[in-house]
Amino acid sequence: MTENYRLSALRLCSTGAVLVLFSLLPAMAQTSSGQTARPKIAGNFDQVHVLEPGGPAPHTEDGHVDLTGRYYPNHAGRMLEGGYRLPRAIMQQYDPAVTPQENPVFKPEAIKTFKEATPYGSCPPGGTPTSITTQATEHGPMELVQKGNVLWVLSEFPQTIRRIPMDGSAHPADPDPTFNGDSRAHWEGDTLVVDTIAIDTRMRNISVGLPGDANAWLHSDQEHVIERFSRPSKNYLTYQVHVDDPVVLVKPFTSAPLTWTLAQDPKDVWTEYICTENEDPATYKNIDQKSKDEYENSGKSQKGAPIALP
Amino acid sequence: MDLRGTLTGIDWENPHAYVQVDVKDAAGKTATWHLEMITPNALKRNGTTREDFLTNMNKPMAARACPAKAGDNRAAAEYIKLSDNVLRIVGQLPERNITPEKLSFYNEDMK
Repeated sequence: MTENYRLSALRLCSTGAVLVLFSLLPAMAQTSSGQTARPKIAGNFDQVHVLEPGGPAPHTEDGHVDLTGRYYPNHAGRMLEGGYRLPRAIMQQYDPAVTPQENPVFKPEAIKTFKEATPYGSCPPGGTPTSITTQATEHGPMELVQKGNVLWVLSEFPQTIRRIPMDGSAHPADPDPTFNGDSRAHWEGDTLVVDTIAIDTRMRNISVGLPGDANAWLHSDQEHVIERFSRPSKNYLTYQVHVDDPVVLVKPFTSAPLTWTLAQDPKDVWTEYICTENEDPATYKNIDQKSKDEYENSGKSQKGAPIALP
Repeated sequence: MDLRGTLTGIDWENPHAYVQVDVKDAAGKTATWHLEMITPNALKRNGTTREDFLTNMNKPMAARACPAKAGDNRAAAEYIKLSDNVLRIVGQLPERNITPEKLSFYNEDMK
């Protein structure tokens, strides 16, 4: 087993802080100087294309669109590593030229308290809608299981299970706050509308607006999230999220309709991705001080006290 | 940077996998590099499995990687090529202009 190093290298490179280029040549006793033809590229990235619609969406026995399936946040019907340079038409979930998306507009007095990047190395639950929206940069799958009057929404990372009643029931009068909140769904035509309140205020909205952890923001206990799921064809799912928070936002935020595509590989696997295996003392010892400070201060105000939410 | 050496280890774990490569300098001194990759779930879905590393263990490999600011022979892997000569994308590619055909080991026979 190799000695464990965690957290630092990918972060440094992902921020673009290190672009030092050098070569350790000529070092390589084991390396042949021979040449090969064009090499095979693992994962067949050179064959990725925009997925065809695939025919009409399936329906359940009660006549509703069946949303069941495993979907990826792109136009390819498979997981794509974010770094590989593929055409925008494949990678992006929406075309800003066709369906422009406004960024959230924060109340000036809320910016200091609620706009807070996710500290690197922390592994919080996703919450609603982050377990879905964060896939804009995580690129992981969302699996929907529609069974009777229940929709199950599964996210691989952050590993999340949401059980959403579609039976016409209303929110409880005073629901307990939970990471995923209390969700209730109803159909508006072929669109399933999921209404969620009581989301734990420690949950950040990630890629709700500008993408990525650096643009994350916290919310108040008055946040109200409305998600719309539709399946315009067999291979395509459309997801749109609307977030209202009168404490934090000047006006509600509504995303562009975001495209997800059905997994095409019958061998596509659902994996366990729990971001905790790096939390050991040896790892922590090797983290730079700035990252340690960020971690220790996560969830706190700049003065070090817990954030006082309205 | 480009690294060429011998594949000597793999840590296949969440949230990120690590590959270990022993690199000799011009004086023949060996240094062990720890290259951080992306998550096992993404690696698997994109054609790189734990078994690929095990079957190519202790054989030549090459890597394009971005060295950690803190040093310590750590780096973020971008592309690797094991002795099976398959070109593998295993990182987030902070060097935005490095496409596969620009790699120094693109056509290199690693066997």
